[in-house]
Amino acid sequence: MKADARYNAPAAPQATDPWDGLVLVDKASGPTSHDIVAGIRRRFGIAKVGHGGALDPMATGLLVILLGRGTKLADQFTASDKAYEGDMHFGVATDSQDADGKVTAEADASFVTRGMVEERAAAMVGDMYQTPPMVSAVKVNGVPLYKRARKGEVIERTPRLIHVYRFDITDFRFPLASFSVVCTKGTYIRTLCADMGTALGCGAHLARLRRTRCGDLSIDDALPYGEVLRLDRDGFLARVLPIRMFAGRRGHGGALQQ
Amino acid sequence: MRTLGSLSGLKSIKRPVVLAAGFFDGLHRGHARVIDRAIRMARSVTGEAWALTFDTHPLRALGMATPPLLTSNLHKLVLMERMGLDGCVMLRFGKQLAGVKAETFIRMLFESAPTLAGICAGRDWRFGRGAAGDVALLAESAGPRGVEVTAVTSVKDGRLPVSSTRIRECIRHGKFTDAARMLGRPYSFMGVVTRGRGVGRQLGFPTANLAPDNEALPPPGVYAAAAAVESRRCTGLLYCGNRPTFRGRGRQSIELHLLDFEGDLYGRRLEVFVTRRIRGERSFASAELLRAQIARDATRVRKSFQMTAGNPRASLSTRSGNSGFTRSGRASILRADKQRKKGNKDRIRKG
Repeated sequence: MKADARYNAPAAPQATDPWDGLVLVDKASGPTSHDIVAGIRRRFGIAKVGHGGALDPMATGLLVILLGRGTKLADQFTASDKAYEGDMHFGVATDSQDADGKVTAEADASFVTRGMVEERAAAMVGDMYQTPPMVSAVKVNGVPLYKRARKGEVIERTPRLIHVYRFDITDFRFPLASFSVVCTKGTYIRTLCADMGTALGCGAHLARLRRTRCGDLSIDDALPYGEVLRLDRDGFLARVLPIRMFAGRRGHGGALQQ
Repeated sequence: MRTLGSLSGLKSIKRPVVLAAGFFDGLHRGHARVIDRAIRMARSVTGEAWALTFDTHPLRALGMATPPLLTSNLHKLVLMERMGLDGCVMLRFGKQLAGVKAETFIRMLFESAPTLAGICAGRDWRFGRGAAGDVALLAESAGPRGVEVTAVTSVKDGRLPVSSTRIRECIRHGKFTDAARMLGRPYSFMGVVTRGRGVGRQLGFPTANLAPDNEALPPPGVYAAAAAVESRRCTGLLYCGNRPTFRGRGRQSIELHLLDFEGDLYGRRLEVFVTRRIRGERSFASAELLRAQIARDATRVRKSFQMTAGNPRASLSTRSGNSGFTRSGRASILRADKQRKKGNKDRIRKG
């Protein structure tokens, strides 16, 4: 009986508002995800704007912008599997695990070969527990960790179960290694890089990060943030994917095809 | 959403245009996949997604028999707008268009839509004289012009693909849950409210007599249904059949009684969502017996909506009678059902 309920009690079809939906934006490096949301809200005068999973300020790539009733789908996109590509830098460890942090250790990493990195990357594929970095938005007792980190505190964090579907090394030019990774929600790529540095004994940090996919949404269909702001209202509407295409999907975000 | 009757109107569109091509009877999940692909393609190039369809089933235009269609042209447009399409080109399909060669049709398409960026169609879509054109032919001529052509695979329901034919069969047998699953939305039809004979009103159940646009309709019987009246959702009883109690002469009549509704619906076009079969059609010995049966049907419809999910109005209106929906409530409905069946037999024997 329960399974039928969706169909058996049709609501009066709500007037379709073209402003309810989502827009795929290619985030620039620099602004926070919230800056992008606020920018779009201001530029197009939309009351409700949100995003489906934040990207670090340094990171670029696919940011799912949710509009109007589309904001109700936030959980779905946050929970989706993600794909990234980026570079890691060997021999330099930072407190935030990326290029924006303070350098905490430097070591000679000239012994690192592409083969060693590939081997470590392959070992990271599968289920694993990951401890979120101190500089992250994960909340402990309701306080985001980065607020504690700014005060110089380091507290104990609960490791979280993540899954890495694939972790490929696409290029190696010492001291940088380019990679592409597909993983579940809540995976910190910079932590993957830092862990890789620790495992190799030389330290490493994330030098560049670009999100290429979120669920079945692809960066190929996104428009750079700067160009989004140059659109007029009609042009912006011509980028809005209707929520109907995403509403009513069951369970968590779809797995990426591999 | 804009509607065009010919391809030439596409000339004035400045933005890239992506077409979703097909006859799209029923706008079911398979069609939705084609349309969604077109919308995605259009959105990624800041363009418009349009449907390309025909006003008459190609077989019918050629004088061949066609099954009863699930959607009228108007209903199709309403559903397309709800899906988020920016427009629809509905070409008149007559002897003339039927005689156009596939290659000519493709050329017409490219010439009249200068900003054409992509075409999506079901993998088995055919067009042109003798259905000689297919997606491969389209892709062949589209490639050099930089138009992306996508053949979309069918959506499976169980082991078979979702098809209008399967959905028609479900409707014909009153299986609305199966139909809704394949449609990806509740089954509905549209119709204009016309003046009836006022018999329902005399019985205390005024009905809106509908002249349906759609061809595939539920079999004779009584159903739980819902309709949107001025964007308010109203639930009610739907009757399909030829009124045997009043010796209706073969003409099928479609009547909707909305619960807790007062107002004038004449001339209005309603979209009626059919959700559940309540009972089959039968003849009653007197109008009074029919009236009593309708009252029981109405109670069952109220229960049915209250049971399946939140219609606060329905639950409010039944609070005075059976208290909410409880296990004992369900048992008493079952009891009432049995007694009714027994009673019916008695009556028939006496009659």
